[in-house]
Formats: sequence, C-alpha cells, structure tokens
Amino acid sequence: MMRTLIVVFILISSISCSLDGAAYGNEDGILNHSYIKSKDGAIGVYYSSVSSLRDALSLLSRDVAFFTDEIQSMPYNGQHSNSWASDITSLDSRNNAKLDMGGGLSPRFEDNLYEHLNAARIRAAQARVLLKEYGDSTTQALIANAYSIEAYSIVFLAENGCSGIPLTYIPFEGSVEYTEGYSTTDLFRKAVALFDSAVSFEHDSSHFYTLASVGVARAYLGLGKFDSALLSVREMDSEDKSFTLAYTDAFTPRDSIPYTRFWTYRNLSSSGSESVRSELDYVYVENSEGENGIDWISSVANIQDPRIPVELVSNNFRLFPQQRKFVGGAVTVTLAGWIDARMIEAEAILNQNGLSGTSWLEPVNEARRSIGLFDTTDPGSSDARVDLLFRERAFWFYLTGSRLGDMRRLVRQYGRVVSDVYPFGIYTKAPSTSQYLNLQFYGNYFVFAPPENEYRYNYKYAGCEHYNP
Amino acid sequence: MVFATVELQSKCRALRDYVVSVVIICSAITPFNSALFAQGNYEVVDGPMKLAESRAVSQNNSALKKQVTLVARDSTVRWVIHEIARQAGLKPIVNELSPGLNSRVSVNISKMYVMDALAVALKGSELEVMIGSDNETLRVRPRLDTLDGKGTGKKSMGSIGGRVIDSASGNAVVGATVVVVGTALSAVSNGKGEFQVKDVPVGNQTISFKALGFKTLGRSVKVVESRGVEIDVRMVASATALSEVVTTATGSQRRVEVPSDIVKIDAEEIKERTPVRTVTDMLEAAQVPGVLVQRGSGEPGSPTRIRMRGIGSISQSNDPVIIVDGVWIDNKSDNQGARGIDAIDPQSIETIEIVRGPSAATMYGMDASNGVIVITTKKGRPGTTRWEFGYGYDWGQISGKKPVRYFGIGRPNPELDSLVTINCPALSQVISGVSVMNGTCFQDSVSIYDPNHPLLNNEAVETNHRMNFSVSGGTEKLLYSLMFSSQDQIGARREQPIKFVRLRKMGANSLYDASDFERPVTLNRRDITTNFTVRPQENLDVSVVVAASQGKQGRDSLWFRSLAGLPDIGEAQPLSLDTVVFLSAAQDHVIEPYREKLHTSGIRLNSSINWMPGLGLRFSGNLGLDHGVNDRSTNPRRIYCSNDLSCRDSMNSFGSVVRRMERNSYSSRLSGSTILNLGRLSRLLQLQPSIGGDFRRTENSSIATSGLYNRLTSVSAGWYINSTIRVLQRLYFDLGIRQDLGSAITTTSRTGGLPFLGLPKLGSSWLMSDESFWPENNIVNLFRIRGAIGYAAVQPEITDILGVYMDRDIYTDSSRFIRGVLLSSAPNRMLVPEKAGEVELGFDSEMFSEKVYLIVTYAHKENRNAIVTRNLAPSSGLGSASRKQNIARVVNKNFELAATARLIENKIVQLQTNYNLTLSENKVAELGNRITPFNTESGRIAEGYPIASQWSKVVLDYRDANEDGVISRDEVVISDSLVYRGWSQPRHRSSFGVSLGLNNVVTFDSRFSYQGRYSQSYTFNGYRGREDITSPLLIQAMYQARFRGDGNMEGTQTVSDFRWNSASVTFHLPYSFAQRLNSRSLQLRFQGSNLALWSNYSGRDPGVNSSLLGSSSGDLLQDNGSTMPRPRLFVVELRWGI
Repeated sequence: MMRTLIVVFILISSISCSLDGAAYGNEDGILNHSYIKSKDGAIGVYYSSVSSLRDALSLLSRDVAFFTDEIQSMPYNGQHSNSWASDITSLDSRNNAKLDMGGGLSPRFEDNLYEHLNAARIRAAQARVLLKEYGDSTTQALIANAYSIEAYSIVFLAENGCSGIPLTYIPFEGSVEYTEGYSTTDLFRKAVALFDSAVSFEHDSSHFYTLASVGVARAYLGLGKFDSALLSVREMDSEDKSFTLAYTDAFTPRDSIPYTRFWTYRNLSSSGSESVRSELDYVYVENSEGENGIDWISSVANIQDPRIPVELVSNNFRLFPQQRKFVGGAVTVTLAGWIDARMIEAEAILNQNGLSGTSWLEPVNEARRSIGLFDTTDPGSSDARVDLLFRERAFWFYLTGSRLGDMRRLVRQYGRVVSDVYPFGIYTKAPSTSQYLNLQFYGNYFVFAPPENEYRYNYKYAGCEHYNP
Repeated sequence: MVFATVELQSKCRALRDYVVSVVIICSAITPFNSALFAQGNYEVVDGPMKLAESRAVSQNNSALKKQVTLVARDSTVRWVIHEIARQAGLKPIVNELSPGLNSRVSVNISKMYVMDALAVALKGSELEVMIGSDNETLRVRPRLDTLDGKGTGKKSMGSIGGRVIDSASGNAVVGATVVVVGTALSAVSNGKGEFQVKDVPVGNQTISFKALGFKTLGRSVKVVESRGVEIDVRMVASATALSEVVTTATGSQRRVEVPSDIVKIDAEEIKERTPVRTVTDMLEAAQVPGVLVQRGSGEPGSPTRIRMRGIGSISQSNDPVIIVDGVWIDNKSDNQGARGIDAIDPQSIETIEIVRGPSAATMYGMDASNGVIVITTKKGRPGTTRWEFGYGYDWGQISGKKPVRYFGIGRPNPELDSLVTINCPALSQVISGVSVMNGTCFQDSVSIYDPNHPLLNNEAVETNHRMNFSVSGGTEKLLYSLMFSSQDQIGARREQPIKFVRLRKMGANSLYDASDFERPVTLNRRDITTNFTVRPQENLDVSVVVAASQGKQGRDSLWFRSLAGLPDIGEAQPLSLDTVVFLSAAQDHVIEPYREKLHTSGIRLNSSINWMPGLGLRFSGNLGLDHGVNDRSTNPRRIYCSNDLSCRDSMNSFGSVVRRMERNSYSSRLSGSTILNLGRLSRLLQLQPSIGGDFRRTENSSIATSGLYNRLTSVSAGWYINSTIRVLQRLYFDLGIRQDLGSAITTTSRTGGLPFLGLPKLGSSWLMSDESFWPENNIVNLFRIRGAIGYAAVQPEITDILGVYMDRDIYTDSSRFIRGVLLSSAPNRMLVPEKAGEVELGFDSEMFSEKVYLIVTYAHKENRNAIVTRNLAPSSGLGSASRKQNIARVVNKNFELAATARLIENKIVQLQTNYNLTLSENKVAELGNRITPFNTESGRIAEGYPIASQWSKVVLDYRDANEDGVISRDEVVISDSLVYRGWSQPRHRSSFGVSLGLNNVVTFDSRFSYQGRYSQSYTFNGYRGREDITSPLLIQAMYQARFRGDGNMEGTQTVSDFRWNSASVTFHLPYSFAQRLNSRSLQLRFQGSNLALWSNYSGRDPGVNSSLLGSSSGDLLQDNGSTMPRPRLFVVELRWGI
C-alpha cells in the first residue's frame, strides 16, 4: 500500500511538473514566442514596422509630427504645442518653443516622432532577421522591404537630427542594446548600406524598389555624392511606382479603433462620426516666417500653386491659412516617388555641371508640367539656380518633412550662410487667442537633438557631437 | 532457557501507545516453546501490568503462529533472518551494529513456529529478536549484555536499555540524559533515541530521564542479574518556549536547534483575546516583532499588506510567501479584495508560523526573501467526536470625526480666451488651487465643507454575524475534521442622505427603492475546510485537506451627475450655500445607481504523505492546488432625466462590465531526512541530513473589460540539501544550500552560465546555559545565542525577461488588416532574481525561574541586485515603456524584542504580560547609474533614503508684508526641491499586552500598541490656508507650498500614534453547568478591538492608507474622499463544545 501511494504521488507530481509551460500564454493580447518564431509571426513583425513608420508620419498622437515640419499648430487646451514656423518646426511639445530661443538647449525631436521612427527601424530590423530564419520563398521580398523601411527611418533621423543619433536595437529574445550617437555622415552611410541590401533581395513590387531607390538617393544627397544619387534614380520614370503610406478611416476588426487614420484637423468621435475638433482647426502654415521664410501663402494667392493647398480662415483675431493637403482620416501620403527622382536628378545634373547650364531644368519642368504648371526658366546665376531648385523642392515636398534637410544641405554642401537660409528674427507664435499673439524669436540651433530621456536612460549616449547643419 | 518480555504502558490512553514486545535472547540454547508462551509464563519487568492483558494481546499476535520451512547451507545469519521474516510476513529491522550478522550458518527447519525457527537459526549468536506489537516488524539487535562487543556481561550487574520518544510526535528524543538515581551511572540517547546503561546493580532502580524541552521523567525498573532490561519511555514536552516544535527543512525541529527566530502563533489563543474576522486580524493581533500589517481601508474585505522586516525590493513584490498545509498560495499578483491571505478561513487555522531570515530560503526557495507564513489548519484528534459551535455578533462604529474641508469658490480669469476650456466656468464651480496658481481662475471666497453634517455623513454602524461549526474526531487509523464558517458583514458606509433628498426632488422616487442603498458595502463569505488523515501504519500518515471558500463583496451607491445649476434641496438648507454649490458640481442629467460586485471563490486541495520507515528515516511528500476566481462586475445602470425632471431608466444602455481573474497554483514537494549513525561518536555528535525538492507552477489569467484574455504562467523548481549537526546536545549547526531553476531564471553570464540560483545558508545555535561553565543561578535559567547567515531571492516576472509581444491589427496598403506583432515591453535577458544576503543574530533567555522569557534578534538584510524599473530611452522605439534591471542596493536593519513575563501563576490568579518592540531602518544604498529619484504609488525612491519615503516642498520663510492677513505667493519662500519628510513605515513599533486569569473562570486581556517615526501623506483636510484670512499665517504659507510641490505632497506629516488595540473578557462557564447541557465546554466572550486612538495625525487613521497599497490593491471599495478608518469593534461571542 505504501509503495502504491508513493507511486501515485510521484505520478501526479510528474504530471504537474512539466516544464513546458514555462513560457507565457498564447491567447489574445500577449503572444507566445513560438508564434513569433514562425512565418506568420515574422510577417506580423514586418507589418508592425510599416505601421510604426506610418505612425511617425501622421498626426496620430495629437502632437505635430514629422510631416508637419512646416505646420504651426495650436493643438490642445491652450497649451501651445510647437511653433516651428514656415521652415523649421520645433517638434517638442513639452518644451514648447523656448528651446530654440538661445537658452542653451537645442530643440529636441518630439517624443512620439522620435520613438515611432525608432520603432519602425527596430521592428524592421527584427523582421528581416525573423524572415530570414522563419520565412520561405514567398516572404523573400518582405526582407527587402524591411531593409528599406529601416533605412528610410534612419534617413529621416539623419536629415533632421544632430550629429550624434543613437541607433538602439532590441533583438528578438534579446536585451536592449543601446549605442552611442552616430554622426550624421555615419547615419547616411548606414542607410546607404541598408538600401544596398534591400535592392539585393527580390522585391515584391516596384513601389518598394522606388522607396529603396529614392531613399538611397536621399542618403547620397546627404553625403554630397550627387553622382551616386543620380545613378539611383535615373531609371525611375513613372509616377505609378511611388511608394505611399495609406491611412484609413476603417476600424480595426477587433479594437474598433481607426488606428491608422491620418489625423488632421478633424477628429473621429468614439462612435465613429466625424466632428470638428476645435483645437486642431488651427493647424496652419505661416507665410514668410521671420526672415528667409518661404512665401507660401502669397505664392498661393499669386499663382494658385496646386502644390500648396491652403485655405484662409478666420478665428476672430485674424486670417490664417489652414493646410488642405491632407484632409480627413483616409489619405495617401507619398513617401518616395517620381517627383523625388526628378528633383534629385536635377540637383545631380546641376552639380555635375558646376552649378551652370540649363540641362538641370529639364527634370524640374517635367515635374511641373505633370500637374499643369508652366515651365520655369534659368535664373542666370549659380546661386539663383540653387535657390530656385530648393524652392521647387520646398513646394513639391510641402508637409513631407524635407525642408530642414534641404536647409542643412544648403549650408553644408552649397556654402550658404545660415542667416541666409534659416528663418531668424521674429515669428508669430500662434493665431488662436489674444494671449498667444505674442511674438517669438528664433534661436541659434539648426538641428534636432534626441529627447531629454535619451540622455537620461541611454547610458551609452553622451549627447550630440555638434549642432551644426 | 526461555526468556520473554512483554511490556505494557497502561498509562497511555492512545492505542498506539501500547507497546508489546516479545524478546528472545538467543544465547540460550533452549528453543522457543510456543506452548509455554501460550501459558503466559514470562516475567513482568516494568509497569503495573496485568498478566491477563498481556496474554490477550500476545495471543492475538498472529505472527507468532506462523510456521516456516528453511533449508540453508553456509548462509549468512542476515540472510536467514530475512528469509524467516519473509516467510512469516514480517519486516526485518536489523541493527547493523549487531555482531555476527555475516556469520555463516546451516539450518534445516521444517514447519516450525517462527520464534522456534529463529531460536534454532540464531543459536549461539549474540543477537536478540523482538516482534513488534504491530505483528509486522521483526527487530534484530545485539543482546544488551553483549553490547560492549566482548560478551562479558557481569553476572552481578544488569543493564538498562531502551528508547526515548517524544509523546507528541512519536519522534526519537535525541540527547536525553538517562541517570540511574543514586549512582554515577548515566547515558545519553542517541540519534534514534536509544540509550543503554551498563553495569547497573540488580534490584529495583529509579531511572531519571531529562531532556531540554521535556518534563523530567522518573521510572522505576527491576534490574535482573546478567540481563538487559528494555524500557521505552515517552516524554512530554514542557512549557519551555525553546522546546516548541517548528517546521524546518529537516522536518519538525525544536526551536532550540533552529538558528533563526521562528515565531509560532496559536490561533486559538489569539481568537480568545481579540475579534478575528480575517487572517490579517490574527497577524495584527499577534504583534509579532518585525511583522507589519498595513490596511488600505477599514471597509469590509479591503485589501491589506504584510511586510516582514521592511521593504527589500523597489519594484518586485514585497509580499511574504504563504503556505497553507503545504500548498503554495499565490499571494503576489494583484491582491484584490478578499484574496490572498484573507481568502483563508481564520476559523480553520491551528497555528501560524512566521519564518524569516536565512531559514526561509532553504525551505521555500525563491520569493521567500520576504518571509514565509506557514499556516496549518486543524486536524482531528483520536477519541470521541467533538462538536463545536460558535456564534459571534460584531458591532462596529467609525471612530473620530472627519476633518473639516476647505475649498475655494471662484470664477475664470476673464482675460483668457473663452475658446480654452477653463475649469472654473461659473460661480458654482469649486476651483482647484492649481487653477488659481496658474492664473486661469480667480478665487472669490473660501468655504467650509463639513463632512460630519447629518446630510453629508455617509458613515453608519457596521454589523457582522459570524457563525462557525466544526466536528472532528477519529481513531488511530483515521482522523477527520470538518469546519464550516460564515460571516455576513455590512460595512460602516452608507449612501449620503443628501442624494436621496435630491432624488425625491427630481421626482425619481418611483424608480428606486431607496432602501437598497442604505447599506451599500457588504461582505458575505462562506468557508468549508475538511481534513482527513489516514494512518494505515503507525509510521505512515496520509492526509487530504480540501478547503473551499466563497465570498461576495458588494457596493451599491448612487452617482449623481445631474442637477446642473443651483438646486433647491429642501432639507439641505442648514448647509451653507457654498457647500450646496460644492455638492452640485454637476455636468449632465444622469443619475447612476452604481453597483459593484466582487465574487470570489476558491478551492484548495492538498494531499500529503509522511512516512517514517525506521532507522531515523523520514519521508514526506506534498501535492497541492490552489485555485481561485475573482469575478468583478460593475453595473452602471443609468437614469436619464431631462430638464423637466422626467426620467427614464436605461439600464441596458451602458451595459455591465465584468472582469474575471483566475489563478491556479500547483505545488508539490518531496523531502526526506535521516539521522546518520556515527557509532560511538553519536553520543557526542549527531548528523541529521535532509534533502528535498519542490515544484511550483502558477497560472494567472484575466479577462479584461475589453474582453482581452491574458494568461501568464510561471514555473519554478528547486532542491536543497540541509543538515543539522548536534554537538553534545548544546551546540547546533544548520547548513544548507538550495538551488532553484525556473522560467524566471535565465542562463546569463551573471549566473555563471547556469540557469540556477544558488542560495546557501549557515546557522548556529548554542545553548550556553547547559554548559558546565554556566553558573547555577535563578536569574537566567536558560540562555542560548544564535546566528545565521544566508541568501534569499525574489524572482522577476517572466515577461520582464522575455519582453511582451502583443498582436495588433495592422492596416496594409491593400485595404485590409493583417495580424501584426508588436513588441510592447522590453526584454532584459540579463535580469536575474534579486538575491539578498541576510545576517541574523540573537539570543533567547528564560529568567527568574522561567517566569520571564526574552527573545532578542537583530537582522541585517542587503539586497545587492535589487531590480529597478527603468524607463527606456526613446531610441528603443517603445515609447514610455520600461524595463527592469538589477542595479540597486537596498539595506534593511531590524531590531526585534519579545518579552513575556508570567508575573503571578497560581491556581487562583494568573497574570501575564508581554512586550514587543521593533526598530526598523531602510535605505536605498544605491539606485543605479543615471537614475534620478522617482515617485511610486507608495512614495519616492531616492538614493540614500528609504524605499517609499515621503517628500514634499517646505516653507522656508513667510511674512505678511502688506499686513492684509493673507499670505500670498510672493510672501512665502518655498524650497526649490522636494525635501525628505520621513519613511512611510514606522521605524518604531511597540506593543504591550496584559492578561489576567481568575480561577480559570474569567480571563481579562488588553493590548496596546505604539507606532512612531513615520510619515503619512493625506489629502483630506482640504485646502485650508488659501488666501483665507481666518487661517493662521503658517497654514496659509503651507498651502502655498503644497501647490508648488509635485502632486499632493503637501499633506505629508510625521506621525506617531498610540492605539488601544483590544480588550476582552472571557467567561468559562462552570463545568458543572456545561455538563448539564451535555457540553464539554461553554465560553462567553466579550471583546473589543481598535478601541481608541491617540495620534497627531491630521487625517483620520494613520494606520490606514490606501496609497500604501499601490495600484494592485484593487479598485473596489476604494475610498475617494478620506480613507475609511478601521472601525471600533465590539463583539459578543458564544462558543459551545460538545
């Protein structure tokens, strides 16, 4: 009897002693690692990287995000979010606009933007590793896509961030790996290498090929390698191959949340009906901000440029221009396309010809003609040609997060003086209320630094090497 | 010659205490004559035994009637014995020291009685055999008179041998001193309790047995020339505290051998002197030094926290491990409502052991760093069936008044843009101080809100009906007990009368039965516990415990979010207009009869085996399951009322919210111990090694309001080796090491590449007063010092190591959603369990003829790799996520003292007092590189200061410069940064109790406690001081400081309190009276608890603070104004035993 009891006891113990359950649950919500170590799981990680990039480039989190580098807004409860006027946007809502007032602190990336860009980069890197391990022939193309998303995120960080941006990584089933800051040059080089890897893999569509081609060309522009940039985009000849990010008003199947909608100035209520959100009515683009600011609105008034869709509205204090480029929750945003290629091609030709000649105008006018604009003509001098080219870029890439990178290149690569390129002097902070009609002054910084928490929590990070363009 | 001995100990009542032995001394040449045996021709050696009884027992000895057949040639004696035993169905137990076991013999036996066969087989040897009274064992040992190995027994002398046994446990009493009175002859019992005294003069002798923790015992024996006298004695434990048996890795050990201070709480003793509704009540009443009980609220079923020797962990659980009858209760996760330790029926508890320090880790492994609470439920006892009934009625009342609250009445700053929503849109709106500070509101006046006004006071009398019933009993073979208890408690909080006034004003009476809301806080619970123990053999126990509980907490309330504008509230007119305005802060026209419910149910299963096969071996196994379900529902039924006060019920418009939490905890445990035979050394040194292992699997699942279902499973297993070394029965060493592995222990370089966690310990206990150098005196009768050093650990969650990947719908370019995978929590593969080293030193002393007992302990605990939840850098892409790192160091120091004095002890009067003292220090010695101080729900974490410390900005200077009687912002100087104000846990805790018994009929008992040197933050006493000319200038200045601090730190206060914890009067009704009712006992108790509180605290009760509980304390029954203090409770209870 004794033996029987012991045997029964040990049997029951051994049943409950299975160590297989050491992981955690696989129900909705939290995923078991075994799921991620599968083709479906790897694909899921890849799509989360796409989603993160889309989050970065939207107004998802109520703060002005990357696309709005020319938008001035007054988004919430009287607390001014940012005031990066017509050319440069301070994206740090918490530190307000004071950061660029010469107080000793550089303007910082807005947290959400910075985090979403890094999330896109890290998740894409995770995805390509997982796809290589657990994918099959049908997922080969996603590896190339993942490389492209990772690289494009780095390009954004390089174009807008200081020299000294960390590239933290979290390997799947690994620990957080913090890094020191990468210089702007190193960031562009890393992006180039990743784009090169992307194009070496099979692509699932020409759209991602466009993203890789334009992306690497942007990186080459950042490095001042115009010939390489030209080689990357010369073959692109069709607008249909543009890489776009699609936003939707559709609700997610499970959460009933319009998760990927492009949030502009209107808001969806919880019931799904669209209603005006007064705070966001004041998302606008100021005209001729400070000195050097681009005359967006006056250009609209004069020539009705379709590239700058705005609408003048009043808020009882004054007229201000609302942007109308992205309206509603479901929009499609072009991240890389034929226009990018034409602009890069024009800049490369201009540089190949020593900033002289008129052949660079051909791609410029080809782009203009595609939307019914008249041809522009050679302004006659090197400086004027560069000015015209970059003005064209500013109008084409209005609200696409390109202007700061362009201004930095004007200083870094074309020898311009900062005070001739960057807006400076007085700017109007916000139009919404009388108390916020105070005037502000631009400061002396030209790039964004990582958010304060990067210094606080990344023990390897020592800060920006410098804040020069 | 035949010599047989039968011994009966007729004084022993229990059947198992009868010992029958038949002894054959095989040096005799005459074979055993079974016919002679049948006639009862044997000699009575000891005890008042009747021959007829012995015969009756012996004749029932069926083994003696067995016949065996054996032909063996040149076989060992050992084999022959085993073969005879096998044929007879006996289990041989052979003393390996017996000479000649390996000698070779030839035997030819045919159909011979077993004892005759043995006599033939062992002819000429120096062995003796005995058949046990159980008819199953055959014991072989050396002849007593040849134990010197020479076989030269002195003819004029005899010898006395035998075994000393603990009457309570049946275990051997090791180290008992056996003295032949009047001679210099003595011996000490060995590890099996065996002893032998040789060369004892023949004739009647008196033998004295003495052992620590046992009452000295005298026996008289008749020593026969050249023969050994066998005598087994059972010693009864004395009242000495050090003799108390506690649970350790080695099994049950006397406290004197354990180097740590293990406290054993007698549940009945606690219940006799204080009202007990929960296990928390019991622990609090016990006032164990180093154990702190914190309450989140005084409402029924409110969660509590138990802390032992401070707080060692910054981000991990500081909850102790709870073991009930060997079953591991998952107490760590989300201790909501009537869960965790308070899910255990206090009426079913026999004892509670508080295990702390290095001793805890070896036995219970990971997570035992915060101490272990070992609960043992009641078991049946052999004998007649016992019935017990108890009924108690509790009557409670909230003590003290709510502090008056001040608030400002204001209006928005007219200069601000009306487009901006400002939180003071109208005169009717109470404004916040922040709004005044930032210029969005202007304050016009200060008003007083008197929460004690009859229309506003929502406190009521608390009542509780408690009933319990138990039946227990059994025989030697089967013990049983069944316990049932129930209580129905109605909390001391009701709906505010003013809400009903409003309800009527709105003409909505017909929609409700207002009486539903008169008693909105309730707790009902039912518990049943059954315990069955089967003893198929004397050395084998099989126990099964099944406990089930069911509880229900409820709260009904009426939420008004209606009556925009100034109401006409009729009966509320006595209130100031300002107060009415305050109460009418309404946004819409909705009345919500709000109902929250928490249903808890649980079942606990345990099966255990204890087997003592002999030779000092002891095996035990345990298998347990703890299953619990919490269903939480809210039913925000809404009544919509339009402006014309026509209302409609839209019960289903908002729906019901249900959340379910479920836990399953499986635990199993196997252990074994033995006493190594060291031969001659055993009198000097004894080794008792033990080995064991356990396994634990916990599953916690939840269904959130959103329907999201999560389940987390963690598994851990561990094994240990432990050894107790006894030197001369005065010096004890305890060595052990434990290794754990599990889902939360990873293979990293920090663990040396092994997925194990090693937890060594070393301890020693020295009974100095038994040393020869200890002076004989009446001051210190007993003194021992003890010390232990070891490690314990707390494991992180598995998700902290692996990270959490969530799924999310991802919109793709092709207008569809796909299942995306999203890393939402950062992993840290380098994370290891927090490992804390602890040193414990102390002494125990009995003084003044055992009238005073003193325990003093100092514990120093250092958690060198404390886990800190550290925010991630934003470049991780995880937003505000965090990860845990082993980067901090936390030090806890505790000084504990427990003193008990029996001042008067005679048949008429028994007067006893006790005093407990705890002094605690806690410090975050290191916090980690680049980690700045941060706040948690319980307080602030800063290097150099205690965990959960209280901080605030302070007034440095103030002056009413313009002499307008108001301190404005520019007239006060406030510190720029937060200033440390104190620890949230008392640094000094004392308790004092006195108990007086009169003629065993009436017992009076009263307890008091003091807590000091701690800080509390509170928010209740309003906003007094805001530009209020009636407030003292300092109060006004402090007001200015509070809104410059982080959050509501302004209410921080250094507190001390003195509490009259309990008083009780117990009448033991005369036995004669009870007999008339056919009763065994009848008891009437009058008890009170939390009778008075003296404190400088500005809030209501500094011992109750919901913020100390953290977010996991549960959202049901949370107080949103002032925390409900503990009620003053009175109890009348009748207990009836049959």
